[in-house]
Amino acid sequence: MPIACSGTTATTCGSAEPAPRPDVSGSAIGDRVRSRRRPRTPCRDSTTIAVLHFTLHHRVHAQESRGIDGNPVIQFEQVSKAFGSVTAVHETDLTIVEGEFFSLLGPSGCGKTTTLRMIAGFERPTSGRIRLDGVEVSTVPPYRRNVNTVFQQYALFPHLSVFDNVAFGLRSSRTPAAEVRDRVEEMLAVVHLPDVSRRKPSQLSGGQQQRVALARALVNRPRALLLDEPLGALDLKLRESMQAELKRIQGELGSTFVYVTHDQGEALTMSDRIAVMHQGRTEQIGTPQDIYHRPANAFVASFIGNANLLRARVVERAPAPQPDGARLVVEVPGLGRFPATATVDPLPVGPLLFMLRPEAIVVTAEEPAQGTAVAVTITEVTFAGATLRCAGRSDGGATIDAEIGPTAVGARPQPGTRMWMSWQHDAARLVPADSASAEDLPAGTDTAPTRVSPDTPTTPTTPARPAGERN
Amino acid sequence: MAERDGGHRRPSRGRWAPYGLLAPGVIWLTLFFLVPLASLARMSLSSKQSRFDFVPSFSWDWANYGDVFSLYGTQLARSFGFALAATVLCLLIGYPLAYWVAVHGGRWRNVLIGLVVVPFFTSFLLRTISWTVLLADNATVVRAARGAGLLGVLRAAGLIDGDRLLDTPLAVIGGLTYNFLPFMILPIYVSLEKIDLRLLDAAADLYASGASTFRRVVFPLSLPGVFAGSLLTFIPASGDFVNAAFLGGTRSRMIGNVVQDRFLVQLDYPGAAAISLLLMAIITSAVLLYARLLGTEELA
Repeated sequence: MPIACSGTTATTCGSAEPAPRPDVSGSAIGDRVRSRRRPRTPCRDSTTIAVLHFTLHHRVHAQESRGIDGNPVIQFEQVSKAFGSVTAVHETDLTIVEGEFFSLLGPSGCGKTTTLRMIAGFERPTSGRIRLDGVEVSTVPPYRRNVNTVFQQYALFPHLSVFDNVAFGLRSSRTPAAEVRDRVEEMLAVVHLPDVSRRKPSQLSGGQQQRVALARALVNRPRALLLDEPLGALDLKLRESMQAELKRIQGELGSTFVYVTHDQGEALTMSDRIAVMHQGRTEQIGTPQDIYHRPANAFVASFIGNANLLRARVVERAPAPQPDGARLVVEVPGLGRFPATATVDPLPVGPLLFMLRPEAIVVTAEEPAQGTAVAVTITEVTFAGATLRCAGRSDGGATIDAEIGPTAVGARPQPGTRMWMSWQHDAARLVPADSASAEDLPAGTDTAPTRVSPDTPTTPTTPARPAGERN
Repeated sequence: MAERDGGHRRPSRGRWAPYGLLAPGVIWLTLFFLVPLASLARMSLSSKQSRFDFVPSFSWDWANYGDVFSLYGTQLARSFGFALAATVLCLLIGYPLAYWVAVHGGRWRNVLIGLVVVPFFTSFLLRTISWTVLLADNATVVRAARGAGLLGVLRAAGLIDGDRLLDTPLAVIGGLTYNFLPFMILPIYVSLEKIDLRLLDAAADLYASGASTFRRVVFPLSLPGVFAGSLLTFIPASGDFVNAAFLGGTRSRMIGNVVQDRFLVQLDYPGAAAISLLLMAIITSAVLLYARLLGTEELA
């Protein structure tokens, strides 16, 4: 399973084009990607995990060949937005190309909805330029922009029938009645809702309302469809089927989708590219693989999936790329010295974190022959359905979380037992700590081994929610 | 023992409790509405033996109803005309105000809408009498209007007779509008305030301009408020006699004044009863027609 997991790539803040990626090595990480659970997100069942697993592997080839070449539909040039003294979006550059499924991902209050509302025209940028098909639209009102939005709570017109809701945009643009009827009926068929056109939105289920909202936007054949957390109001099962449905419709129509979500699993399964946002800044733009395997900083690493993040420093630098991809040897206090691959090249000045995905760790009773291994005492074992999560403490006092998949062989860990945690060299990454997480690190970490909980850096402490997200 | 008693009593209490809630209202309305209404109906069909007969006797005398149209057709038509004019004026003044408060009021919304009700702290009668001072011939308002040539325009439009505002139809319509305006504003405000502002974004997103959004989304969604407000204004205005009595002249007597005069001055109880019942019947049919036109059942 060749997952391109090169050592030197990361697309950082604000750059739309990913750096050229030297394809250095294959990786075994992907083989163990089984869960993308994050603390506080509702538990995904094993089916989803399997689907997610499949999608990640499946998409690799298409992605690598496609890149982001294409006709740019939406371009941000140094766009920022402030509400009074609160800056919701800092200067951002962004290019979204035709036919792409592009996600804006981040915790609430990160500026993703404001970004979407600027594309739609509901908010004017404080500075910078927005281009639609190359034409500047920064001050063009929403009703003169050829983009359409699927709103968070659908915002269907309660006094109009399904048919009239879908026909609303066409009638605004004075489309002949016969054409309106044809196009509305055609679109209702695309979203699999042909028989409800006489009903009022209140007579429909949540999933059906979602489809009406989708049809109402798509029937206008927009240059880009903007979706603001469209699945947030649906229950888990419906959300999953709608995810597949959205991908199907996007594929059928070949439209450009801009998708706002706080659900990293949703973004990973559906997107061609993802922009990870945090406190009004774009932390990284890249394919799901890029973002998962080569996070630009500790925030991205911990927001997408789970990650062990431990303070580290570089002790040795290889002059040229090594066969296994690792170019650095790092020292992790309390754990030891290991080869690791930097996710960003060159590494910025500032604190660095050693990153290991829990699912990349193998737990065995005996010391394994290959890879890097650390002896630990198991402190905690939690059953999580498809996987078994366990925490181990090294002799130096560092704690590592591991996630064991259902096909793992060998002894099951028990609390209190001595076991070995090992990983492939190229699973070990060195990530720059972003400013937010660096502040969260306890002082005096040079001597005391510190484990940064995956939760800590992600907790957004935005002082005020931007007006765009008031609902 | 106690348990069995409780178990025995609960179903019966459950069965009767809803009717218990209904009882005060039913008793009240029966005593003070249905019984008087029946006696009013009986009275409307009674006749006096002589001019000085205080207690008319019941005689299936339908002539009372016939008299209403022949004698007071003008006042009847004028009542509905004035009430309609006041309702339309209330709508024209009240809707934009309610809209502004609902959309732009922000955190001052409740204060602003509270201010609308402030005039109610003074008695209805007192407020109407104050208007006689406001519209008096030598009052500032009238002198200003006269100076600006406004009175001439109003005279040309047939709204006033001479060189004054008091004792004119215009003054009565103005008084009605002023007195019933809050009843128009409040329901419209409530229906506008309920509208999800994201619907406005959605309409703009679907290429509708501001005017088009109002016509296709905001106004249709506020129709229940417009309907309720119109009824709350039109019904009391068409039966009102206070405004006509204080602000109107002989040419602006309304049906309410006729009823008052018949009952309290001429002591013609059968005639007054017949007018009252007829007024009720006309208003009820007008309301039903209005409801049908607006299609209120479909709004929810």
